[in-house]
Amino acid sequence: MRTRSLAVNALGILIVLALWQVAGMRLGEALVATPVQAAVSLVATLREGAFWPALWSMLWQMLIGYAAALLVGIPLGIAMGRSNLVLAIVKPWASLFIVVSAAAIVPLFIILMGRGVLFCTSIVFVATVWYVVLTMTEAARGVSPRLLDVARAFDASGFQRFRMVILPALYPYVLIAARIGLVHALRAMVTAEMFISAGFGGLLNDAGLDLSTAPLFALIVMLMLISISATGVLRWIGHRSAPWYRSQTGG
Amino acid sequence: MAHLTVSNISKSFAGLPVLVDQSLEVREGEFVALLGPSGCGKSTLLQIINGLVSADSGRVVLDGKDITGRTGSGRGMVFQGSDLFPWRTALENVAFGLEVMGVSKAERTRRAMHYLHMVGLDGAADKWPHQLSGGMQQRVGIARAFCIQPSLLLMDEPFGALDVQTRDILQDELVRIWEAERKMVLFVTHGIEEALYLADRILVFSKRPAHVLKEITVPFERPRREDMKLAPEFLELRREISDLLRHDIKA
Ligand SMILES: Nc1ncnc2c1ncn2[C@@H]1O[C@H](COP(=O)(O)OP(=O)(O)O)[C@@H](O)[C@H]1O
Ligand SMILES: [Mg+2]
Repeated sequence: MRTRSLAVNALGILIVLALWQVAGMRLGEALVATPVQAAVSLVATLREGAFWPALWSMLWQMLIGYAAALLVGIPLGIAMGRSNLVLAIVKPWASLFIVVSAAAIVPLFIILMGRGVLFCTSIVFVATVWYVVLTMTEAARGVSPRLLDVARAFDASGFQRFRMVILPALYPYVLIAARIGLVHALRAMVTAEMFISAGFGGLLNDAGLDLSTAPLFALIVMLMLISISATGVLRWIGHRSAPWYRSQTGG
Repeated sequence: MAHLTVSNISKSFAGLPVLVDQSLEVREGEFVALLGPSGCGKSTLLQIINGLVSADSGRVVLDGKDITGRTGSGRGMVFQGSDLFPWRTALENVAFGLEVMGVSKAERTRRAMHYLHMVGLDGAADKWPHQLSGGMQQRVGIARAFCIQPSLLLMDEPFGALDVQTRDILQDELVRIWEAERKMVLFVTHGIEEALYLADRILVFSKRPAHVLKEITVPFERPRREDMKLAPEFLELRREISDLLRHDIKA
């Protein structure tokens, strides 16, 4: 079953690569570089001196903003899901801010905090935190009232119900929120860097000026690989540490 | 001396009377079935006794202590869907009540193992609920209620969601366990045969608002045996109750 779905995945990727190759060969390198050209360019990029420092500086700044978003977003989301008062106060702001894309706030943030670490981490934080908050809010609202009643029947105090029912019920959703948040954090980070032409975003800008689209595709593929492997790791952690959850959702 | 006295309980939901001035008693070591059509208010009465739902008026006194509107203290509850905590193993589910009470880990594991053994699930201690069949899940639910050694056991249609064969087996198991550790039981059911087979006394309830149509002292000896269900006296009582309920529904 598992090997079969892997085979289907591989087949899908092969088909896309084949289509991409055909399109590239027809349209030419300036418009669409072929996967072979992109792969060659990727190898060259990885050997370049500028690539690894750029990647590293992007990742650590992103991780700071991302971690802050989780640290604030998870408790805030749980509080919103479990308290109607907190929900009434925060929810309107969450719904407002979540529709504002990172690109829209970048200019304001540059004026406010310049172009340093604070700027990048703040952008990441603002673009990520509301997705974490809303994911956790929904999860916290969905905690089974029946199981809370069971705990109450066994005379669990409010704090015990929180620790022994709400927290374990929410644990898998923390990992889901982390996964959703990570994608948004990465996206926001790249956007921010492209505006200030620094780090990985700066490399993307430069590649965009190149006559061939191959270096650009190489960087984009790199970004996808990072995102896919990071979310994959988080998913794996979820399945390993909460085996009961996977069986419930059939995921 | 263990004793439950429920007096003059009334309860309405949004102006809809569900219980009007209901009283009942359970004596030490007595197994009482609450039998009635679905929707008549049996669960509501049980949850008022359990403290999960507050009554509009009336009192619940257990072993001389007024426990009206309070959960815990001396009562164990078995829920219809077993309602196990999916993130706890079978053993941890059984130990839940003791953990709430602050019993040490070694001690609660020892006691939970004892009750798992009693329901025939020694081998399933480390299994997750989703790895157990419906019947096994309900055995864990029964062990969880017994494990806190309550003086009163409340069961709300505990076998209602099981297939007939599994239900018959679990009825026998329950009788066996209860005969080994006799405590007061209030058992809600809408199955006439189930009530006759398990109980010492049956309170037959009317349709909503529930009131006792008839109180029946079950004349059969213990230990009860499966073939008892075919005895003429059993069939006669069964028909009598069935007529009583049918007549009430039509009235
Ligand atoms: N929390 C509630 N809010 C409103 N109505 C309720 C609530 N709980 C039960 N009821 C109503 O009270 C009646 C009795 O319910 P219940 O005690 O569950 O019946 P039974 O267990 O005998 O089937 C039903 O008509 C049900 O709709
Ligand atoms: Mg009911």
